[in-house]
Amino acid sequence: MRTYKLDSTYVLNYATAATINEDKGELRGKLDTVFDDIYCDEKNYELAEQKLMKTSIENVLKKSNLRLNDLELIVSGDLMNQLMTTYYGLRHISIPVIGIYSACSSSALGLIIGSNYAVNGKKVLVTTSSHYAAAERQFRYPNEYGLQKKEVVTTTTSGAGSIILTSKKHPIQIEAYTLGVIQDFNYKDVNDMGGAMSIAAYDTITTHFKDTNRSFKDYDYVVTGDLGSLGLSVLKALFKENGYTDSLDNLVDLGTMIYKGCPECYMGGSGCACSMLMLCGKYLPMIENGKINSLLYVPTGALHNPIAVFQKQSIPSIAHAIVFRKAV
Amino acid sequence: MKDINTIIQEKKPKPKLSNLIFAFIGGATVSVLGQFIMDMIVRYTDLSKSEAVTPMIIIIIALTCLLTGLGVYDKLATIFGAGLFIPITGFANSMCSSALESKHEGLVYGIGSNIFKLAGSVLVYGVVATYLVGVVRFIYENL
Amino acid sequence: MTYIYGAIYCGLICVIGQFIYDHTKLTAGHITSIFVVIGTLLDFGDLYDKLLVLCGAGASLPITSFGHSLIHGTMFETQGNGFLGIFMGMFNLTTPGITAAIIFSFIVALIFKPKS
Repeated sequence: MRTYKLDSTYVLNYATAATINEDKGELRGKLDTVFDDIYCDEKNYELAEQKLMKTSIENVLKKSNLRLNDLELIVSGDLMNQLMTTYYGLRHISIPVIGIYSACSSSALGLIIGSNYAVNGKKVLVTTSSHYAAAERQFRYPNEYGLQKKEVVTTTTSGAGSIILTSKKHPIQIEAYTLGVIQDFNYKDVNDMGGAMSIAAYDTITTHFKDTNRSFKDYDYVVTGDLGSLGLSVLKALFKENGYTDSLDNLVDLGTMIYKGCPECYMGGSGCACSMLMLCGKYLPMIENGKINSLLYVPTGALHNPIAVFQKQSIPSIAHAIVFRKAV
Repeated sequence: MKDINTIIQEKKPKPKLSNLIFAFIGGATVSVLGQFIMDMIVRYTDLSKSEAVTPMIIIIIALTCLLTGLGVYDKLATIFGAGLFIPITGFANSMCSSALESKHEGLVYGIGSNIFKLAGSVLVYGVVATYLVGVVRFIYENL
Repeated sequence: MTYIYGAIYCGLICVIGQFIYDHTKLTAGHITSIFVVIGTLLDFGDLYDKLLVLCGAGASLPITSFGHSLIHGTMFETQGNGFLGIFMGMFNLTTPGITAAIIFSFIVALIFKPKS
């Protein structure tokens, strides 16, 4: 049994920060701060990502009329080595910071850990960020390198999202979560993260359905984080091959939406920020406004390491699931 | 029941034929540009045709580095693929982009250490292969 | 005519490289390393020199020509210096390319800011 129920965890507020590239697809006009370029008025990419994270935190505190010291702690995740964005970005504050790494499923893992601390009136801030150029540089190649990308790649999102959790009743409730198990089917194509992660999404979603006795029709939407168009079609094929006859129309992928209409973005968006930006920018407002009642949020993470890849190891992946519901 | 590897192979997009066409166009264009530069050098200096190769290569490398710095080269490379990474332009770009990217880490551990990060393997395998071929040929020619 | 032969030759080598890139797991780094090694092997008699005359720039620009320059310089030195020539001649003909690449990469890295 990998699913845990939460009695009283609510989303107090949420906010985002991103660059002009994220303000084009489905999030157009829905981001709290939009920077003109990926430098975000900073000297280098790594500082830019820290700026994005700090800006999203400032935005959510302002929206909630809270100060940093009103928070119990911050749970933060990013893609950088040694969680550089988290620890360098948040080093001058006087509340505890729990840094986590779960690749692009960090937002879900952060919400899971945060939920367990947001009890007895305590408020916990969960934030994740990613940056296109910083991630390219660390995981792939220099940004000006003349690389002809393969069609199956996804494009790392530059942005950050922050959510404050509380045990006091608010319109959006986190009802339950399902913990993921590390998956690995010996897949070695580093260009195709979506394909590599599809199995993690399949495993966590089916486990969640088994633990809760639910299926696709019990949710308005089941969203994966950044499988991209290829990864999503592989996931749907996995369900069909394993005998699911339910309609899969409400199974959608956030990565395909964030850069909708952008041909240079290949299979879609990815990175810790992708799922967080789409969640805060599109889906949480939909629950708050009553447009939808329930959401199963399943961001996936590819847990590979560049050195392991050069050592011809395969790509492990993981997915954690969170149930958001309109509070009754 | 199909296994996931089969599903992925079925759904993966196949490589486009246009990639090959653009690679040809890219390579041909670089060649024409290089030849034009060589002809200009022969016409306006007193270098012979064979002597003009070296300055032409230097000019092409300088141009590649400039385009890399301006942020234009990577956009061209997305279109032309091997048309740009097979000629010397690919070598120069790999060095220039690595150096440019690491500039914030300083002169020694940034630019200095990273210039050969991607181009190093071309040099290493060129030298190692030349050594082996050289030894074989030397022995053969002196038997 | 040199323009045409050069364009066809360089274009064809690039097409071969693109085909390998599209259909195998090899990256640009692998493919250029392989082509350099192939260039080293292509120094039979005057074959490559005839190619350089016929195709002009088109034959000296692909990375295969770099491999050819390496072996050409090496064998030239062995004529005068025997076995030691193998260690002495490699960068005879390839120095301009490497030097230019280092100098211009350095200058560009100092002046410009990377975008993406």
